[in-house]
Amino acid sequence: MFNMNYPCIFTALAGILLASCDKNEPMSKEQAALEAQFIQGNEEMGNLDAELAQGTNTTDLNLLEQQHVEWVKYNAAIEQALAGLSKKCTQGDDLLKKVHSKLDAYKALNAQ
Amino acid sequence: MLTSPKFWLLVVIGGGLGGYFYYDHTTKLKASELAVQEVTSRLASQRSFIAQKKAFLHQRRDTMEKNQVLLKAKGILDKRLEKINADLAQNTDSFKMAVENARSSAAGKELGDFTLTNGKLVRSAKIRKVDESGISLIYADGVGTVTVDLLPENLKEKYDLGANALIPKLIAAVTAFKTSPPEAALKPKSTTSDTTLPETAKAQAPATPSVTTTAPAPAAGASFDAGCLIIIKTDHGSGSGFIAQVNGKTYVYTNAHVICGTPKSFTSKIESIKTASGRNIPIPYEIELSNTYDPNSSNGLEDVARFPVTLKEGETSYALVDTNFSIAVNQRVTAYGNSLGGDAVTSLEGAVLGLGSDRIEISCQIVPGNSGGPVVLTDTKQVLGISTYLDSGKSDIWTRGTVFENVRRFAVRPDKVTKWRKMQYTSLMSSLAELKAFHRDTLTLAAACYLDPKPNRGGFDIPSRPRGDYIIRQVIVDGSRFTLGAAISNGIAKVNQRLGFSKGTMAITQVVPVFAEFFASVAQTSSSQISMLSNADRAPYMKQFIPELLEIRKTVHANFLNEGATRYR
Repeated sequence: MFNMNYPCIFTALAGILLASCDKNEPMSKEQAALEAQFIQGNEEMGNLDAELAQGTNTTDLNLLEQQHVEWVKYNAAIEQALAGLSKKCTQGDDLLKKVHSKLDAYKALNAQ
Repeated sequence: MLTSPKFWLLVVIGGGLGGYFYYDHTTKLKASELAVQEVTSRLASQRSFIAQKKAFLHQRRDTMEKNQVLLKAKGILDKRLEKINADLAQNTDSFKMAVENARSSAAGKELGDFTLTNGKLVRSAKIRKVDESGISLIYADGVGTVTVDLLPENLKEKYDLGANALIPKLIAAVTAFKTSPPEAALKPKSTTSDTTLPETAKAQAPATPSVTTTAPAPAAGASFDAGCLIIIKTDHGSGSGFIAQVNGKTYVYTNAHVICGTPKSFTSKIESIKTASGRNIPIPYEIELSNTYDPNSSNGLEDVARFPVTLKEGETSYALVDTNFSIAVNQRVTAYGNSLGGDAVTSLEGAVLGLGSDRIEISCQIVPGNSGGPVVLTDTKQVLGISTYLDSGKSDIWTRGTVFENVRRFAVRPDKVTKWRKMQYTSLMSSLAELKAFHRDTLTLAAACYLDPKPNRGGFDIPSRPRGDYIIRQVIVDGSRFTLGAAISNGIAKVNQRLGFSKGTMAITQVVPVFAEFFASVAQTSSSQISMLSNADRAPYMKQFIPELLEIRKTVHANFLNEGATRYR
């Protein structure tokens, strides 16, 4: 009778053994680790959002990008203005030199 | 054994058990795998989003840094250009003086014999006078004036006369230089195909880019001098201002609410005052608040403030329009200001929409942050108003479909202020601090209305339950920094000390006088605060906060007395 129970016991034991090679536990640990990373990521995202929202009151990336485009255009306009100003300053310096030389020549003429 | 049915039955049972365990195990495993996959995918998407945000932040930081560098460079070039203009003006004056000297010292000078351009010989000539028309001479044949066209080249050159005279040419060249706008030598580096930026706007800052869809459009091109536009920062927000000269004195003008705050949020500190060109203006020792007030007209002249400032060499200022200046509807105006506190002065063009005795309604798209900024007549550049407030419009059956559904924008007329009240900055800030403290004390008194007697009447129980948006205990503890708050906190401690020894329930006759003393003492402090504030003499802008503060306090005070009279007897 006892001998006849062997296959049954072995089979059940094999099943239990197989089940006890539990891959679930490492999987659960991995899941928990990933969840922790996700929470950390959320914190990081929160910090980034706070930085993004500085002076703008929004964290909507699309709106911020639109705003950024405006800043880029603004910078381009300033660059253009700078180029114009720089050219005008050069012209002014040239004019000033001419005035200086004419004035000196005039003073020299009258000093004779 | 193999033929035994029992054996096979046991094999089947064993197989079944093994199969069940295996099935259960693989199902759980699959579920875990799916969960891990799901978290991994969420994590990947989160990381990609973080990377995207980081990249954007980096890009934005670069752009803002570049903007600062460019603005600084522009400031330097602006100053350089100013200096060139000043040098040119100075040299022109020197040249004029040299010519004047040459002409005035010519009288009596011997010229000897010389030939005119018409071939006539002038002998033994002596100069009497030189002017634009020619040279007056005494010569061998008598006295006469030789017109410029007859003079020889050397004399024309010496006295700067004739068509080739240098002074008129110089003045023309300098004027042309000063009035010509700086040419844009480069194409915009922006890769966008946007061409809406007007040519004239390229020479100055456009409006601060805004993330709201209703934000003002970039400036339409009215030029401004950044040196006389002001950005003011306080602990309660940002605002604008401008430098103007009135009766020979120079002031920074702004709104009183920029300096003092609003009834909901009082200012306790001015953090910085800067011109848009970057000059730091020291926090003034003395501030003048408008003392002109019409109780029937809110948001009026009482909201004007100014303080003296000293201009540095080369700095300019605005002039206010004359009080009797006749304004017309649709007159073109430009509002300048620190829109949305962006730390960049914007130029917003528009027109006068409505006229009032002390204010105007304008179409310039001013927003919070523009408060205190000038509204300037586009043609004469004189200040007509100070951007002061917005009205959110009204939507009902009468306004539906009209412009009055939309936000309306108003500027007050600084030229209409007739009286000023001088205040030292420290005294202004302490007045504001007093109002703030009074308000805070009212909140503590309101919290004290919810004190409970302990079950054994052994003193007060301070509840930790929330009341509205605050927690009663927290407010009483935090409020102890202020006068009435301290009276309440100390009073509670004193009562609890006197009655707290009891283990059993105390007799009413014992506790009533102790509680009554507490209520009487707190009420007395509160009453004297009410009386002091009611009789305080302040500038109209601050005075208008007081009725509301008093009204709230009086209601809370009555509640407090009622609690004392009913709950503790």
